[in-house]
Amino acid sequence: MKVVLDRVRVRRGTFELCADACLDEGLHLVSGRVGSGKSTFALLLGGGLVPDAGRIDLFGVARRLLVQQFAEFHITGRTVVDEAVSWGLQPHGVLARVGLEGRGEADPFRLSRGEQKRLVIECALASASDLLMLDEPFASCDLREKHRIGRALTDRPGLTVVMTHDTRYLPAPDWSWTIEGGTLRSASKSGES
Amino acid sequence: MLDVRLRLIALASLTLAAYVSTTGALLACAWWLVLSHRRRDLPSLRMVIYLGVMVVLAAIATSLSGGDGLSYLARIGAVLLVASYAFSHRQDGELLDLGVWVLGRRIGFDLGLTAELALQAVEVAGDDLARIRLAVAQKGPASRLRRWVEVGTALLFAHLRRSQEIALVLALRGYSGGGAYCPRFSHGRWDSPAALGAICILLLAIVEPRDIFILLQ
Repeated sequence: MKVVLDRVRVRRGTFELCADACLDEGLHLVSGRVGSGKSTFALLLGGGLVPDAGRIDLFGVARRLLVQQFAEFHITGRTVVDEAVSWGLQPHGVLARVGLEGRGEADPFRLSRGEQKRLVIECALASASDLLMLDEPFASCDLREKHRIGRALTDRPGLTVVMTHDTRYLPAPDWSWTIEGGTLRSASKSGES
Repeated sequence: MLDVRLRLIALASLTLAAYVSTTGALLACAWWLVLSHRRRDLPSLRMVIYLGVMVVLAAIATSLSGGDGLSYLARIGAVLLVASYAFSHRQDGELLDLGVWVLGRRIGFDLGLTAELALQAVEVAGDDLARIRLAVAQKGPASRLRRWVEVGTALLFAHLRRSQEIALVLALRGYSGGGAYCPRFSHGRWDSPAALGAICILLLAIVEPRDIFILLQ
C-alpha cells in the first residue's frame, strides 16, 4: 500500500503547493506553520482537490478517509446515533468511547465543537479505511481526548497521514514531512535525521 | 475600478441601460470589452458555462413563445458581464467605507458591516461546499436528493455557527451598533472615465441614437 505524488502542483488563489513524494504504509506526520498549506495537502490527498499538474497514484488503497479540521463539515445525521450509523458503525460502542452515552438522541449540530470533533474522529478511527488522513486532529480537543487519539493511532494498520503542528500527543511517526514555502519537503524516517 | 462609489454608479448605469434597450445592452457589453480584464474578471469557467447555458436556454424559450430572444440574451448577458466585473474588482472593507460615507457612522456602519460579512460568507461558501461534499461522499453512496439535503444542512449550520462566533467577537469588542470609522477610497486612473462612459451609455440607451440625430437636425 502506498501513495505516490508525482510532481504534483495545485494552485489556490495566489498560493501554490508542490509535492513530489512517495508515502508508504505507516504513520506520517506532516507539519508546518499555520497557513503553510497542510489543509490544502490534506484535501489533495483526500481527493477534494484536483492537481493542476502532476498526478496522484494510490496503490492498494480501496478506501480513504479524510477528517477535516472542522468536524461540522462531516455531520449528516439528525441525531448523534444517526451520525454514528451514517458511518456504517454500531452507535453504542462509539458513543461510549467518546463520552456521549445518554445523548444519543441529541442533535449533533448542537454539540460543542469539541464534542463534534470527538464524535467524528472516533467514527473515522472505527471505520475501516486503508488511507486515513487527519487534519489538525487535536484542535478543539481536551487533553484526555488528545491522548486518546494518540493512543488510537499507535499501531494503526494501513497508511495514516496526520497534518498538525501540535506533535506532543502523536506517537512517534514513521515518517516526518514539512511544508515550507509551498513545498512538501521530504523529511526523515523515524530515528534518522 | 478601485473606487467603489464610481464602480457602483457604473454598475447601476449599465444595468439600467441594458434593461432599457438592446442598444444599451450592446453598449454595456462594449464597455465591458474595453475596460475589463476579460477572462480575469469572469467567474470560473464552469460557472460561465453554467450561466451561459441557462441564459441561452431562456432566450430560446423566449423566442419560441413569441418574444425577442436575442434581445433577452443581450440584456441578461450584459447584466451578468457587468455584475462579474463589479464583483471581481471588489476589495475587502470597501462596502463598510461606502456605507459610512453614504449613511454615516450609525446606520451606514451597521449596513456596511452587514454587507461586508455577507460577501465574506459568500466567498468562503464555495470552499466550504467543496469540503462538505467531500466529507459527505466519504460516507458511501446515497441518492442525489439525500446528498444535497445533507450538504445543504451542513453548509447552513457551518455558516450559522461562524456567524454566531463573529457576533460574539464583535460583542466582546464592545460593538452594539454603529462605530467610529473614517472611510477611505482609492482612485484609479480610469475610474472617472469609466464611470462617465457608463453614464453616457445610460443616456444613449434612454435617448436612442436616431433620436439624437433627429434632434440635431
